[in-house]
This record gives sequence, structure tokens and C-alpha cells, in this order.
Amino acid sequence: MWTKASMMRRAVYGAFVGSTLLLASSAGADVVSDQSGAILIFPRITVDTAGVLGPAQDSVIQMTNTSNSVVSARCFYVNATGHCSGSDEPCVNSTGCNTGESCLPQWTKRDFRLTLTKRQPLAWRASEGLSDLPCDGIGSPDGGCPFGLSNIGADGSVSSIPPVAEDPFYGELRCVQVDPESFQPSAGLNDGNLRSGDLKGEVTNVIVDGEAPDAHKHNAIALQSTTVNDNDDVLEIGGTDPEYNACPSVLTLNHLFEDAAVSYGRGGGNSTVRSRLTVVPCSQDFLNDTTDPVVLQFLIFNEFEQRFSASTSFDCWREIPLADIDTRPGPFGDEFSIFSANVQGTLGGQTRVRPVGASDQGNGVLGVLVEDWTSSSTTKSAASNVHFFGSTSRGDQMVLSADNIP
Amino acid sequence: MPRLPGGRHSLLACALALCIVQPGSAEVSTDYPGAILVFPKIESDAQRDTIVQVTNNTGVRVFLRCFYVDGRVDRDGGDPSWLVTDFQITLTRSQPTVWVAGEGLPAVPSDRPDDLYPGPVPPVGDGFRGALRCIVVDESERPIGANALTGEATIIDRTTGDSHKYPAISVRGFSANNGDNTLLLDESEYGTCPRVLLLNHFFDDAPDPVVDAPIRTTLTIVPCSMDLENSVPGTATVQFEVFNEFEQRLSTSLPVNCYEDVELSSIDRASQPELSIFNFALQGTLVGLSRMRPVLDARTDTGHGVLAVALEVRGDGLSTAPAHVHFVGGNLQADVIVLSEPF
Repeated sequence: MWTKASMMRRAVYGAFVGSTLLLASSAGADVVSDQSGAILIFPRITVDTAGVLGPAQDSVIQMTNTSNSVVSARCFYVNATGHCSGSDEPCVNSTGCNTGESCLPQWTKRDFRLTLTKRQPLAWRASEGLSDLPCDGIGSPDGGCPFGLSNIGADGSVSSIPPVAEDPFYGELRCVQVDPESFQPSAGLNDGNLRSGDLKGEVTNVIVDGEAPDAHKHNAIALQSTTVNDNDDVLEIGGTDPEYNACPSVLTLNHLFEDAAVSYGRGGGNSTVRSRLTVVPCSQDFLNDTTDPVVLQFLIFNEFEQRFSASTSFDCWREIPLADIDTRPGPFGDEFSIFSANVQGTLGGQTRVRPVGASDQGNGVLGVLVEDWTSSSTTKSAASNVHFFGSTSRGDQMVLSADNIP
Repeated sequence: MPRLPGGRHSLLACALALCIVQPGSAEVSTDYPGAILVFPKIESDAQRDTIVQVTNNTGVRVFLRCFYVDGRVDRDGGDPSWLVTDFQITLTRSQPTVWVAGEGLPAVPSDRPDDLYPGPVPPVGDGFRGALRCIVVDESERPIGANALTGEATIIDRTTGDSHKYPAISVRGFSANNGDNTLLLDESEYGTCPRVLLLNHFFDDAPDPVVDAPIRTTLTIVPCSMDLENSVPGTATVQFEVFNEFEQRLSTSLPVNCYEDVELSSIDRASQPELSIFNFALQGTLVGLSRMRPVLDARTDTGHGVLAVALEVRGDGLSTAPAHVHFVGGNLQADVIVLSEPF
């Protein structure tokens, strides 16, 4: 039963929702991985079903409409898989190519439309996609879901999720919440979360390693709507007239240093740990298929309060072992890296990652961290979202390619 | 007994609080530093142990009071054992620290000077299954609202080598902290616990789309409120709304006392797992969305907010991965953490 005081709080809540929405429109705050949002970014989608570049693996993507309204999205797979410059074979870095060849990353996109009914959760394998959605009436004898609910968009477009463009595939997935009728970008529809956006997601990377599977999972990163949206295909992320909250100015990684040896207390057992950081830029231009280079400055603190620094750069998508940030790709010289436990002398570290870009471009980045724990017989992985700090001073921009060419 | 402001003051406080709320924000987070850090699941036994990471994200030294709460069920009484072990640590600017729950940190550092040593951390007891909370305090152990802490926990299986990692949940602190040992999670001293928690999960026994192994999910829930001075654990009743891919909705509820670690299919106490509303056999779709809402009441000396983490287990426990919980909004009833008085 509601008390008088709590009813009063609810009344005040209702009365102030409007004014809060107005205030919210000027808020330039934060990205989140533990709330829903209007742009969903899965920074790391990996597919290698035949185990060409490592152990066989696939990604299971989960996406959910958290609101009580029908929600549509325009989604973009970004294919960043590297290919050797001469043989065109897929590669992770140049050590996987013939002598004299380079490993050249791609930047190609594949987009699709999606309509989710109220509160609907979905899951699919990245390598297979999802041609028939649960409520589209295709392939189901009863023609879909109760009460006329449908995964078919208001304009009649059928939701269909394609597989990724190639296998092996390394890249990202982005989904932008759009109006279910016009399919143009929009704010969220749910007053319960102040219209900040209704999509949330997770990705599970399942590795087939002998008889025992290995899985790690992380949340999609959500950019929340400011509730102001001009519905065009140029999405303003932060900056002076933001449509979406700004990307963080600093990413913070709490990690174990490379090859740190961890003993598990009185019960015995030990592992060594290595970590990989995956980063993507907040800005993307899917219309002109261009990206701008971003420099990442790293500040590393060990448990003795000693500080080290390093830097690297990337264009569109990059996964890099921590030890390779300041040494050559591959295992060469890793023991001399400032991310090495041998160099730092402590198990744990904190690394702050600050993106730097040209003065006329957005420079926000987002990322996830994957750890590989190697014991005597096996290597198992664990993933974690990184922490965020502040917001970039310059706005980022995401330009969508035309979805409906007249 | 702590009381929330009443009458017109409450209207004013509420209005002010709403004016500073960010869109859709819950005041707990796994992304940003906070003044209270909650690790809902710490395990240490013959098979598993937990590696705890806590980091100071500020440029100044911070002091922490930390509390292990053992939530194992007492075999004699059937209630949680509610054993509390506390310790204090100090982190210098930007300092990360790591320990294994079953081992702790020694009283005397072997590898560094005292002023760079966080301090001793006691090992948890064998078979420990519970939560860890750390609270930022000043040098005289008075709680302060400095948002300094982030953390992670990695649970390792000694036998299989399997590992999974989840971020600690941080509660934001505000400047209006009166420094007493009654912490109000009411948007004045600290942020509120979430109004709704969302969990995207595979239905229990659904086949993994990649390896075809059955997936089961374990949910760990801890109340936000607790009274360490009078040794009274927090309690809550959590209502579940479960949606499948056909937008069909089913519901159930779960009482929580101190600490709850339960498989999804056991929540509604179905006579057989396949009759549970969390089971693939009943739902018929691979994944579901569960909305968890703690039930509120009129009490002001405690609240009923909850925090949670979930764990997916593939096959026969050979592979685990955390299923991260999302948060929606702030709770309308304040939670209260009462710390034990130092003496």
C-alpha cells in the first residue's frame, strides 16, 4: 500500500517529469553500459567458425526493447577484418601474412532494419543472422504473435538480420533507435526512463576449444538520447547541440599486468593473465565510408603509485593486446612492455586512455577488455566493460547512410 | 532512528532531486566511480576463489571501510548465517589493489613501504559465499561522498581454469553527507538503488546457439539496506515479470533475506525445472527479458532496494559467463545502511 508520503513523492515525480525533460534536453552527460539507450554499440563482434585465425568461435548477440512501445532500429555491421596485401588471406596482423605483405584492415558496412515488439528480447548468431523473427509471421503456422503484434515495420518492411559479411569476421555492430513509421532517428519512447532510449544488448563470444566451450560476455554500450532530435541522418553526439549524450573523455581500465601470475589462495591453482583492448571511434560516417584517425594516450599506474605512459593510434576498429601497445605486434619484446608484470612489479594496474583527435573532428572512443587466463592445461577468457570518465569537449558525429533512397 | 524529511520539506527535496536527475539515470552504476562499492557475489571454497580488484580513481588518498557479509544458509536455522567481517584499507592516488578472497593481504607488506600498502585484508572463511561492500570514509572513519571507487571481481574455477568477471556496482555519493554511520541512499547522501533491474537471459536449459550445450543462469541478489550495528540483514520481495520473444508475459516473486543465490528455474519453485516460467521447455524461445522490481513499503528506517549479478553456466559448469544486469531509474523508497560504530 502506498503511504501518503510516497504518494506525494509520486505526484511530485509526475509533475516534474515535464520540467526534467526540458532540463534533460540540455544535459550532455554520459554513455552507459548498464542502462538502455538510443544508440547501441557492440564494439567487439568476432566470428571464425572454422578456426582460421585462432580457436573456432562465434558471437551470440542479444538485443532487447525495454519499453512498452514498438521500437525500430537501423543497424550497421562494420567489417574490420584484415586481409594480407598480396594473398588476400584473412589476418589479424602482419605476422600472419607472407614476408613483405601487410595486413590491411577493411572498413565496409552491412546494414539492416529491425522492428521489435513491446519488451521483446531477441538473440542470434552473428555468423547466421536471423531471417525469420518470432513475430513476423514468416515460417510460423499461426502467423505471428498474439494481439496482432508484429516484427514487420509500420511501413511494411520485414525485419531480417543478415549474417556478417565474411567468416572470419572482426568488427562491430551499431544500432540506432528510429521512429517505427519513418525509420528516421528518434528519441526514446518510454517516459519511465525519460525518453533516453529503449534498446539494450549483450554479446557472448563462444569459443569452441576441444570439448569444453569457453564463453565471455559483455554489455553493449548505450548512448542515451537528450530527447532533442531533428530526425535526420546526422547524429550529433555531444557538442553544442547534442542529440545524444557525449562520449567519455577518458576510459579507465582496471586490469592485471601482462603475464601476471595469480595464485588462488589456500585451495591451490594459479594462472597467468593477458589482456586485449578493443576500441572503436564514436564518430562514424556510413554515408561516405570514411573514418578519421584517433590517437590514444595511455597513463598506467601500478600499485606503487608509479606512473608510465604510452600511445598508439587507430582508424576504425582495433583490437590490441596490452603488451603490443608499446612493443612490436606478436610476442616479440612483450616482457619489456610497460604493461608487463615483470616491468611493473605488481599484479594490478589502472590504465587511463585519453583519445586525441584533430581539432576539427570528434575524438571519442569506446572499448571493451578481454582477459585470457592460462592455467597449466587451458586458456579461458573473461570480458569486462571499461569504466568511463567525463565527456569529450568536441562533439562526435555519426552519419547514417540513406535507408530509403527515393 | 533515521528519518527522511517530511511534509513540505520532502516536496522541496524531491523537486530538487528530480531537477538534477539525468535522463533515465539510476544512481548506481557499473560504469562510473562511486562512494560505495558493492560486490554482490564473492566465493571461496575448494573449487573456486575470487580475485577482487579495487581502484582509487582520484588524485588523492582515500580511506575505505569494507565489510564481507557471509550469506550462506545456516544449516541449523535455515536462515542466512549473516557473519560480518570488516577491515580498513587505504589507497593512494590512482592506486589499484588486488587480492584473492581466500588469501587476503598480509599484515606486513613484503614488497613495498608502509605508506604504499593498502593494509591487511583478512581471508574469508572456507566455503564463503556472500558479498563485499566498501565505503569511502575520511581519516577518522566518517563516511564521505567522494566518488573514488571502481572495482571488479573475477571468479576462478581451480579445476577447469574457467573464469568470469563482473564489475562491482558503485553507488554515487553526494556532498550533503552528514558523516554519521547511517548512510541514506535517498539522493541526498548517496544515490538511490534502482527502481527496476533488467536481465536479458537465455531461458534455462535452452541450447547454446553455438555449441548446443544447455545454458542455465544463476541470479545473485543482495538487499541495498543492512544494519551492521544491530546485526539486522536487509530484506526484500522481488517481483519478476518475464517476457519471451513472443512478447508473452509471465510473473513470479522471490523473497530475499540478506543474500540470495538461486538458479532462475528455482525462483518460482516449480515441482520440475521444465515447469518453471524461466525454463526453455515452457517458454519455447531462446531468450527472455526479466524485469525485477523490489516491493516498497512505508518504512523509513530501512528500504527494500536490491542489487544483482547473474551468471550463465554452459554445459556441466565447464564454462561460465556473467549476464550483466541493467538498471532503470531510482527507487522511490530510500535504503539505509547502518555501519557499526568504531570503538
